[in-house]
Amino acid sequence: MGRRSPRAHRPSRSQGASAARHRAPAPSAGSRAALGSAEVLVRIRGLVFSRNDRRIFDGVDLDIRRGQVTAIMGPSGTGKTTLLKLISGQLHPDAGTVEVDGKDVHALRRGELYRLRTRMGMLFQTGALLTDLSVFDNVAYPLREHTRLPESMIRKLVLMKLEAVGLRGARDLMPAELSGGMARRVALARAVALDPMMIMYDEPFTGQDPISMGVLITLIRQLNDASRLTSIVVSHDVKETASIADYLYIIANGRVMARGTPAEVEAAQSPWVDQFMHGLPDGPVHFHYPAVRLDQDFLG
Amino acid sequence: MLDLLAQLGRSGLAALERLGRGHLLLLGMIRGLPSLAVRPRLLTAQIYNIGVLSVLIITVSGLFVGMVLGLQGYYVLSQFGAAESLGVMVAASLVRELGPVVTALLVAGRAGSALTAEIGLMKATEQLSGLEMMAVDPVKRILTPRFLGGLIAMPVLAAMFSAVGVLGGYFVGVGLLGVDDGAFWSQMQAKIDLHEDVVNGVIKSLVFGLVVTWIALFQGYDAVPTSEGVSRATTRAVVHSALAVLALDFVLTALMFGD
Repeated sequence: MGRRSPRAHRPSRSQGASAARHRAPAPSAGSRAALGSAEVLVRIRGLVFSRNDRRIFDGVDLDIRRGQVTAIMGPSGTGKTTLLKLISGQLHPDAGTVEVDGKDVHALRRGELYRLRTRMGMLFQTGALLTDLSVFDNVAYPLREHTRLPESMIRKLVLMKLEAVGLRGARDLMPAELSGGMARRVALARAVALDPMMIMYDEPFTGQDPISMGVLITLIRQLNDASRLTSIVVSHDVKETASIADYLYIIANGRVMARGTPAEVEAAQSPWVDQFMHGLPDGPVHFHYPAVRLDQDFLG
Repeated sequence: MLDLLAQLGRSGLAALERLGRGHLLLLGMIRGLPSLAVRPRLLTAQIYNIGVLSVLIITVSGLFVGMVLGLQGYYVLSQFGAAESLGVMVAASLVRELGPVVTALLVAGRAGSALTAEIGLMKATEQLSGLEMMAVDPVKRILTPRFLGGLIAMPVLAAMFSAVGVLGGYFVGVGLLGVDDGAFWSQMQAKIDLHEDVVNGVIKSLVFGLVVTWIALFQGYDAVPTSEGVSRATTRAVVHSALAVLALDFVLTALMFGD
């Protein structure tokens, strides 16, 4: 794998311009179909994926615009994390294509895929920090692996990244000494260490206290805007995710159930989407697991 | 009946698939060996973890095995008036068989289980996926140093086991039971052959080192990423390693010493 400068893959000027207008109204579902390839960083077409005879995705089409925060939401077990793994090439689809920056991820050779991954960051649900390395060494890890920068420069870069997530003072701690929220912030600093073009967040808010959640929400938005990133946030925390997203996809039963800006999805007429967005206990998704009638169960 | 056949077929296919994945992992680790030339620290750390940290259990076990050999050997040999051959018997048993085999079993129990648990937990906590996403090949960076570390450590540990075992046999035979000191060493020197005994023992321990480390790493890498999955993988690693070592010992012995 070729070594490179960490700035070698800064977003292009057009990407920057795209990022600068991230808060401009996102295109509606109708106009989205006509998005050009320059605007779209991730393009998914006809995605089919099954696991153990269970169809997770059944012909999913999806576009992620450059410079935006796109949220992918849906109930637990609908394959949101699986979708991120398909985008990053960790899993292979049964059918369909996933293009990242114009490259068909699953047609790439291993070396090409790894080169593409140096331009993609991912924040795992658990943080995925290397437990035998300190916070500093975790953030320095991708820089040491993929660049020839001198140690003095790596130190400065790592401290900058840690400062951005508010944990410069925690550089000498080990992962076991961090709280869940801190671990995710360190993982976020590591994910942006190589200045990637996009970051994927896998359930970033799960299990966070209100303060940590607020910090993460702010960080995701600020990092996206300040670093001209493209962000994909996978979550089932509706309120928090919708508050920072430019565009939403709601996935369930292997299909995209709704798409649009948060306001468009909020106003959707679908009872299923309404139940999900407002957290209603009963609706198209039943509260009770299928069973025989209660009186039959009690009276035999 | 048909269900049973179908079940058998599925199990057979699953086992073959696992075997295939195991061999692909072995190939990946062998391909990754050159990458250690630029990161020798990764290797030395694993030689320390697998080898140095196993020295205590290996030497203590070797001492007791040698002492038992000295005791049992003396009782048998003295019945035929051949107690002076005790040194040969102890050394041959250790260098040819017990050194490589018992060392491999002990390493499988101490270091192999630790390797499986470590890799399995790294998988369960998404550290391996994290490396993949950082465009770092976990097979090269994490598994290969452990593989080579185990391969290097095993013959050295087996040599230590045999050496300490001989001293244990000497202590019991000469020190406690009164076997002649000169006869103990001179017969050993005369009868133990460098190629026939020592080199074959080293070859055995190299093979056992490869198999034990490979099984341990594969079980961890292939573990179901849950606490129960890692626990099962650790058990499997020790059981499979022990069976493989004993079966391979028979095959290698037949090939090396059979006429």
